[in-house]
Amino acid sequence: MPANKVRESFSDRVAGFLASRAKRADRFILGQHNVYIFPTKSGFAFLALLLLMLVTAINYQSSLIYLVVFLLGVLFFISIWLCFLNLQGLEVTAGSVSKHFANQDCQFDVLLRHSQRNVYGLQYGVFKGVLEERSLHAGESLVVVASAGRRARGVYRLEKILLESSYPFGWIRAWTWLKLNAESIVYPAMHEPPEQKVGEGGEHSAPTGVTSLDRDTLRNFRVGDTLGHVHWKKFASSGQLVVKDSALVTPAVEWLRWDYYDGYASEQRLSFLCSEIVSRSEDGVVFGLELPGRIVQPSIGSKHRDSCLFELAKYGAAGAGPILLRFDGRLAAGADA
Amino acid sequence: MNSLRSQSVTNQEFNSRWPSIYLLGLAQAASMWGVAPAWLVLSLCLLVGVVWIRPNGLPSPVRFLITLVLVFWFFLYYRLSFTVEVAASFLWLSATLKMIELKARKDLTIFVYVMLYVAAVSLLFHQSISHVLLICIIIMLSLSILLRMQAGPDFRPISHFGSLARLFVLSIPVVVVLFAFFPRISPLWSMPIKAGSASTGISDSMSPGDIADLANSDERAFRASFFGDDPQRAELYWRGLVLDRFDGRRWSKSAPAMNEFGIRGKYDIGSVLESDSPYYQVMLEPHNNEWLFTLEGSSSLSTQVRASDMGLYVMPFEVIQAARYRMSRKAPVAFGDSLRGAYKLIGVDRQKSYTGLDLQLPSATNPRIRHYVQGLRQQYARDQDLVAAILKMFRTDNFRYTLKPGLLGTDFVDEFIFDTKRGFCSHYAGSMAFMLRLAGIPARVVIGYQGGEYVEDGDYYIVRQYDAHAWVEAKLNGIGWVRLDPTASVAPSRIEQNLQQAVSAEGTFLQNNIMASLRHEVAFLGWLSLKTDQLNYQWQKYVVNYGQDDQYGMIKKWLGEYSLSRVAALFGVMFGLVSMIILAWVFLRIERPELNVRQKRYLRWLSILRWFGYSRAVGETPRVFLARLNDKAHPWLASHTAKRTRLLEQNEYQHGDD
Repeated sequence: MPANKVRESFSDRVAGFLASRAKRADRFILGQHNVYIFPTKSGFAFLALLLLMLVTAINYQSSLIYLVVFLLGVLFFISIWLCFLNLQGLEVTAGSVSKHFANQDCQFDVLLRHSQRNVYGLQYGVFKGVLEERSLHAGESLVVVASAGRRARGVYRLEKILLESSYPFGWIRAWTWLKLNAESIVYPAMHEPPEQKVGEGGEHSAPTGVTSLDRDTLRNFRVGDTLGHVHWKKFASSGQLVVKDSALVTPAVEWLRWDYYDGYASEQRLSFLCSEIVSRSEDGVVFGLELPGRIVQPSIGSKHRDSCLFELAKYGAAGAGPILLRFDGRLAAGADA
Repeated sequence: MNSLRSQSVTNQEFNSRWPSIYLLGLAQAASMWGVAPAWLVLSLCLLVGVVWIRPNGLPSPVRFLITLVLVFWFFLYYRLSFTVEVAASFLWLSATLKMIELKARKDLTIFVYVMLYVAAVSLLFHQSISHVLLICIIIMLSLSILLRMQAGPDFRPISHFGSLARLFVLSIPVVVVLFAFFPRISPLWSMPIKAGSASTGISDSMSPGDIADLANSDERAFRASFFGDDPQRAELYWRGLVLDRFDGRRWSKSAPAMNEFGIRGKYDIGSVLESDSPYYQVMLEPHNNEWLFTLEGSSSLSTQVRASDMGLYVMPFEVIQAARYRMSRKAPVAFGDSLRGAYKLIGVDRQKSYTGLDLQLPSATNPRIRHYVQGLRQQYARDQDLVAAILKMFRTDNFRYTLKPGLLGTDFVDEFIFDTKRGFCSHYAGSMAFMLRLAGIPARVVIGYQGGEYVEDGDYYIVRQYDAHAWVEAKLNGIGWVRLDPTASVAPSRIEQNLQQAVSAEGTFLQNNIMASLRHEVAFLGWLSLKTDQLNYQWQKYVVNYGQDDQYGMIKKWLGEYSLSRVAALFGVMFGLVSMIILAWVFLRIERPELNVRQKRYLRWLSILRWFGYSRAVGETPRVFLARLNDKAHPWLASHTAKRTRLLEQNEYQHGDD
């Protein structure tokens, strides 16, 4: 079937063309290569109105009605340009990766900014059904926080976002679909493990529950102390910045292991580990993480905590890439283009 | 794609109490003044005002009732007649009623679109510059509403009106080119035109007091300019209608003449033809009738003007917009002393054998005049002698020309000729035609205008309603049709000068029309009114009446030949140009840094140096460039460059001083 083949190759080429126009990136500047433009319903209605006026002008030989038709027609033509120029130069940047637990809303940050002009009547949508409208002043940064609702653990990425405007007269709509690298990580939900099972880390092993305050010695805050060790309650009551010294004196290494929770389902285990990681990190304990086929070396600090949680979030995911969230809010079936 | 727009955006709350919405409603009402009946305009103005001041003042049952009453009254008033003005008025009425019930964005958009259309249609009825300005305001308001819907809460009225005004100005050149070159097509189909409302002007019947009413109006009837011809004022008898039926009191058109030209054509003003012989061109104000005003001995030079019976001319439709026509003319010949005041006419015979109509008489009324005419007829056998005797009677028998003739009874001719002897042109013309018929001479009354005000600067005549006149045409035995004007015998100044002079003694000129009499008495106002008229005349000539033939000439002049492809090419080039201008406007405005005077002067000097062949290399500092110039260039150039460089450096690096 040559005809079929032609059609197929044509649609392939169209898809390829569209894909080539919409590459994934962290930052976009809107211009003629990514903005589409077409009259709206109201624009077509306006054209019909102009046609009606033109017929009236012709049938009554009225020069002045001709004049009105031409004036409005030229304004329609100019409004095509104005509509495009309203979006042109708008910078769209993916915000920092936002992190959540599975029982929180999964959110995405997008930054909008135009350094030179005001952008009027900008409608932006990360997900269908929650399009918002706003104007943006020159130089002002607008952070769009879009919520995708509660999601299972994993690393999510937006398939595409929509930006559009019908400024100035609503006759023309300019819009763009951007494949923006906006990501959000959903960690497993935290669950306290049933019993404190902490592995013996060789000679560095230490008992769990090191955080009872009575054993702590308090000393004044020094530059370089981690914020996690600050005794905040004390600060709130007395205004003095003091740190809990005990953990610092004898840095103990703890291992959080998948194997400790035998008999539980894997999601359950991840939840336990998640809770443990957070509490260890809060206590300022040096800890390592061991998952089947993946080991995170012991360390300390929020960065370490995040990388451990990240391992939990993507544990068991088949591909390495993030999960795509489609515009309609559902998960994309295929991999990221 | 539109389906992706979420409900939350399209139905977003908008404030239907924007002032521009109400202003639009009021401006539109102003534009409908004179198109729709006054009661409708006033009540809708009132409604808009009430809703503006107290948006929640009218509960919905009251609104419903108002709507019902207005629509019912509307249909009662127009009685289901279908014409443009009825359609436009109804559209306007329904849009204005909708205005008080605006709920969603879509409603507002529809409201604005209907208002735009109504505004355009109102241009069919008013074409003055001031009305066009009003329409511009309506368009501005409409667009500002659309803009505001898009710009949302960040709408700033002043800056947005500013950018709208800039848009208007930007589009003017293109609009002008489109106006001049966009192909004008003949009407596609015939549209209902008959305008229901009567306008000021002569009508197709004449009672004794009728024309005197017109004397109170200084509204323009038409303007005329002459080419290759310099007529005397006394020659300017503008024939409009022939009244040949007399019922003892009232002169009217007889039935056959009335229905003869009932054919309705498309509303096509057509074009005018060039001519070597002297001609004149008339710019007729819309009077909602088909008849035209032409001088005696005219023949048509316009494609649409049709010759009617008795040397009259008509348009094949009612003139509802200013219409232009061109006629060539042969001036009628005066008889001189053999019959003073009579002019020989050509081409005013009836085309059909209805000659008996010119002798029709009403049944026994006015016994005294019948008796008197019988006596005259016995005394004078020749028609011209009898006519001379009647004119002499008017001249010598203490008749007075007045705008206040007093009321007359049923036998009005008797009372007028023998008792009151005071009358206006309609009295004299009506009585004389009746007397001639009594004497067996075919005669009829002609109504139209006489004279006109000559505008020196514009070289044209303005004929106003107070120039309305009635006179007599009679067919004398052995001579043929002649024009006789009894008014000229009574009050020669009416014909040789004007009405104002003729009635100056009694001071009744424009007596009941304060504005108009001010214009005639205060010199400055008169001058202003003439200047305004000149402006409007140019406007009508070049814009309102711009037609196919003007376009043909324009295209030939500017594009070399009349061809569609050239016009299309012109439009293509123009739109490309406009796009480039917009782009340049937007981009240049952004990219160009703000420079102060010294920086600008330095750059300007650099461009002058470029003429001499010295240009600064990329990355070359002003000082290095100066050093290079010092080596090579003329000392004067070098020294001036040194000065500019020093000033620039001071500007850049020296703090504080100037």
